[in-house]
Amino acid sequence: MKRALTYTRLQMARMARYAPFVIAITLIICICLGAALYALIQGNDQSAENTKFAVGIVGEFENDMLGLGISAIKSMDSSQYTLDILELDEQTAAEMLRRREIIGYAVIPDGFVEAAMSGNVGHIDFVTNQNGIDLTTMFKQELLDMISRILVESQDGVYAMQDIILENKVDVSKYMHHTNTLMASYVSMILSRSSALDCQIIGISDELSFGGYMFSGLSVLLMLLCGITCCPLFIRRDMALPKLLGANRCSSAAQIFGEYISYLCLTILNMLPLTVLLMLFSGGAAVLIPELDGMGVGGALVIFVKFIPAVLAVTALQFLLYELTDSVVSGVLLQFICAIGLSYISGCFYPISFFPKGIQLLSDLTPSGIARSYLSALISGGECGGKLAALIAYTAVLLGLAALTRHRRIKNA
Amino acid sequence: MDKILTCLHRFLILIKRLLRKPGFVAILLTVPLLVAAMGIVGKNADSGIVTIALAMQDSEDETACAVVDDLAQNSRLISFILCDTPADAHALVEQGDVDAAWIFPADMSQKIHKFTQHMHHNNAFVAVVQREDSVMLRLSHEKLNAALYPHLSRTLYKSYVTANLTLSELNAEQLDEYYTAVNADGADVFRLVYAASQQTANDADTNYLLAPMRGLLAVMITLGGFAVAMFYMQDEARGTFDRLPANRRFVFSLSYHAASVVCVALAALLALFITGLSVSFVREMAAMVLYCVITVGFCVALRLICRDIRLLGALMPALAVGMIVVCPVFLNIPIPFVGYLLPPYYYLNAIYDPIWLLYMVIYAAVIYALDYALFRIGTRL
Repeated sequence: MKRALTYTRLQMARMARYAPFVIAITLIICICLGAALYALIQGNDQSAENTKFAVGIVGEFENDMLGLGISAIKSMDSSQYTLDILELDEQTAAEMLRRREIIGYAVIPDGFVEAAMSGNVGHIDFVTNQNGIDLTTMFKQELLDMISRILVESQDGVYAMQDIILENKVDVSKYMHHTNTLMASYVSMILSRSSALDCQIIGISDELSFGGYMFSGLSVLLMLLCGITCCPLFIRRDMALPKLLGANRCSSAAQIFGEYISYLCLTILNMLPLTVLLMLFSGGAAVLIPELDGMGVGGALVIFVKFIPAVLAVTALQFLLYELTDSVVSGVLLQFICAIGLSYISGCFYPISFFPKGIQLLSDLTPSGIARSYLSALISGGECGGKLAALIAYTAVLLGLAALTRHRRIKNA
Repeated sequence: MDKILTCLHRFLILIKRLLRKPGFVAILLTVPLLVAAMGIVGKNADSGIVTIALAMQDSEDETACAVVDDLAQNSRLISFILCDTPADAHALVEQGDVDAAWIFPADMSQKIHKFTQHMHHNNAFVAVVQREDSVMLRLSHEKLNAALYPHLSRTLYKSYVTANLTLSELNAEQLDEYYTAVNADGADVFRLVYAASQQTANDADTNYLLAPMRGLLAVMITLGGFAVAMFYMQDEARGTFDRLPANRRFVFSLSYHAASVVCVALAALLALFITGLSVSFVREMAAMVLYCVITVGFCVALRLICRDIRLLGALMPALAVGMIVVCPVFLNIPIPFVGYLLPPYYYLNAIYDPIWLLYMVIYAAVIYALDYALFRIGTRL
């Protein structure tokens, strides 16, 4: 016992030499993340979740019909709440697309409106970037399909009426009058289409907001990625020292315990500024997370203390990974692959509801998935007793496996 | 020629040194397997960005059934769940199991007719219940509008003809026939075109589960470079390179880093080809070769700047997060200048826009000049 405690103390001292680098880098990340978030929010003057998409229109704006149509869409259509429509020339639009200031631009060919009015609808190219598919740009194709469908159905109605006039010898002198009146009714219906929906927002009740969800996901991602930092410290090429310690009655379990405690302390110290600052910023200054609105430093610290079971399980997993590899290169790659793979299926990048049921089930079984849902429950104030028990059980099992691996490696050395 | 062969021979020895470790080989093989598994799940599974519960007040209503069928059959990004009753759909929203519920009324065609006569909120006929108001849900309303529009359009046309053309000999069925007979060609009014290649897009491009894979693989290759930089520092501290003349160490350190980067890059390429994410063999190979070159230069530069394994270790998670955020992996955030410092930014753009291959060559020239300058400064210190 005494040897184990001495070994733990020595490991803590070793870690203390490493801590300033890690904490300094974390603080730099904090400042950079905070500055980037603040700049983004200031730039958009609203929360990131409700940012509108900017879309360019390239065409002959001197054409009255096109100009009128765009003005009507910008001022009267329900899309004004989701899209910022910018009238641009093609060169500017291409440059803005390259700088990712717009998600794409529609090129309306010369004479398109006149041709459409005489029954020949041409093609409109919607130019976009192929790389960097993200959540905000994935609706592009859906939106374009919707516009195509509206155009086609409206045409069907107007042409059918024209066919009836021509085939049934209705007063042909009123052909244009009826065409224009029906087209005006269609335009009116397109602009009023959102009035067909009676929208009721019931609030988020005890569920988590999108901001709160992403905060818990990103916290788990950061915890998992922090495992890379200590690879040079804990990955052993040779087992001479553990073997010597084993011969001096410091068992594999005691060795693992001593090393793990020091690593856990470093991770907690490392996560503390990042998590608390993000909580204060996201809940207070920016209200990205409504659940944390008005939270003081004390409240943020209390939540952080409650985060510790999640840190326990994640660090135990990382510790097992350290034991499974014998070189820094393999160790870093393994930590990264596990961090990214587990974060991905645990819903740290996309909300877990985006994934198929099988992946959601798998997520509920992984330590990272449980940690993420535990943090979500903590922020939303939901029930988290079962998740807490699962995290503690995982910690014990993973550390036990790490100790067994160390024992086997000492034996084989 | 002999010098080149000797360099190649040493490079292969360095690769062999890594590949002799079964753990390293197993990790490399895991990469394509994991990506392939995600690919299979992503292509076959039923999932969506937004989940919507659909319910009908009268499950026999033909119009409501047609709208529900249309929605269920033409969905790429929205996942629909069909509920037995409106109350069930409402409950799913309250429980947070779905993002919204769309409830269709009984006698829907009558309600549509009423709406086309007076298009204001008092005549709204589809009840939308949602937990919060977000851009994604507002966009999903457009999907609903698109499904309702054919019925609205047909009703508006019939009402107009009946009220204004005074044709008593045409009944409702005949009016429908006229409408259906037009069948205007315009399903492809919009063509999605990619800016760089000017190629037309297809639906397969929007698999959001697989979309970030290339970016993550690119970040992994860079991480492989950092890992070998740490390995090099450990070897250097151990005196492994003491017998190597100082003037040869620069080239040696480059090939040392390249050995790991090439192995990880091969695993990433294999993953891209297996999952069908690759664009063309030539473009993939050209971009990957240049990416390996600039990644080696970038990792050597960071090693020479940090000079302390602890600092490099502490920097790695920060750089990984930075690369994931700044480069177009998950998000498309325009952060000026920072992206130009990171190798994955060039690689991810070069895959779709060949001009970035040229930028990679320029980046390589700059980064290797910086490497050499840092190396010279380091040897003088």
